[in-house]
Amino acid sequence: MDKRLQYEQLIGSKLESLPIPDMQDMIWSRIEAQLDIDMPSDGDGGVNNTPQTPPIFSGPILFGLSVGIIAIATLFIIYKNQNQNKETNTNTPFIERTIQKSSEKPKDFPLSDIEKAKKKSPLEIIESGTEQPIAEPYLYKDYGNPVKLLVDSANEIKENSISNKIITSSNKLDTISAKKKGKGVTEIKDSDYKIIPKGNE
Amino acid sequence: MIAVEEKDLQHILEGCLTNNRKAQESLFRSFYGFAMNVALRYSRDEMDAADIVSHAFVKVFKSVKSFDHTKGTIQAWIKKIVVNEGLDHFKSRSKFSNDLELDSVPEPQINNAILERMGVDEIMALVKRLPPATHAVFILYAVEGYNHREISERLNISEGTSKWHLSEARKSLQKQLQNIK
Repeated sequence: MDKRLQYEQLIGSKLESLPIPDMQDMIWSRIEAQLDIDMPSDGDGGVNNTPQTPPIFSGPILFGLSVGIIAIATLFIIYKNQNQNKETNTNTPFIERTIQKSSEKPKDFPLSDIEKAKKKSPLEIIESGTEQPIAEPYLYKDYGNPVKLLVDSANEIKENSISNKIITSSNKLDTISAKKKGKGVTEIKDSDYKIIPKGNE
Repeated sequence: MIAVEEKDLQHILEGCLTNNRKAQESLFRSFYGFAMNVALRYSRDEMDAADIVSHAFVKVFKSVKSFDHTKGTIQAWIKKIVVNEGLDHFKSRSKFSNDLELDSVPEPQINNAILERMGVDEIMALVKRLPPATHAVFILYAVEGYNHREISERLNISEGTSKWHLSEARKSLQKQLQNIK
């Protein structure tokens, strides 16, 4: 009754040589994961049969957390940059300009304005020691050398070369632009001249 | 199939007793081919077989302390665990009814020459076409060499039911082999 037939023995012997798929690594990873839950080990040895809670930060969870952190950090950086752009629009920084020398001679200041100034009495004398605001680079725009004009008389103009480097501020620029521009020389005002009369000539 | 020396095997088993992962991995890789071959007989495909093998080896490592080398080899012990896991796999897929009884099993005439010409994959494909319960009984009987009493104990069925399933398996295989010429 329990005797195997010949064909069954043949089938049995043939099935002993079934082709084995290469799934060792995959199966071992599953076994190891299950053992880590049921029988966690202390490193490479030791017995630890106390069940422990599975690690919170497993592969997929860790990946999701990393993506979330990166996304939050990116949004924070974008938000911060937007706020900085708004701040820079309201506060203009100091502008440092360098005016280059040109080979051309500075133009002579037209005497007409000085004559006009002379006619006006009393003349406003500007002390030579008074420092004019240097932060008016556009006053020297048409000059090769930025100069500070000292007028001894209506007929004499002394030039003092000053540094080519002029530091300006936007606030001073704003105040200057509001002032009246002088004639003859672009953006030079009458009050910028120092008139030192020689005696009462 | 097993490529590990006796001394190395003893050392590996000692490591498994201390829950050493490397020792456990060595034992698994040493018996992987053998266990997979057994599992494939009870599975529909390779993924099913992988499930059977992984569950079986987890049981092996959990119960390695109960292995008694005086009662048999480690290979026979692992095979027993894999077969049990395979049968549990069958039970999860189908119910073994005790309503089907048979006293004697007919012996159909099958051309063995056809079987000899067939490849192992073709033969396995024929067996897999059997219903799950019939497939399990046929493998246990024809391949593993169990008798109907042992099969009934393993599957928790009567011997008559085991015989009925074997009869059905033989009829089905005969019919399929007759179509192959």
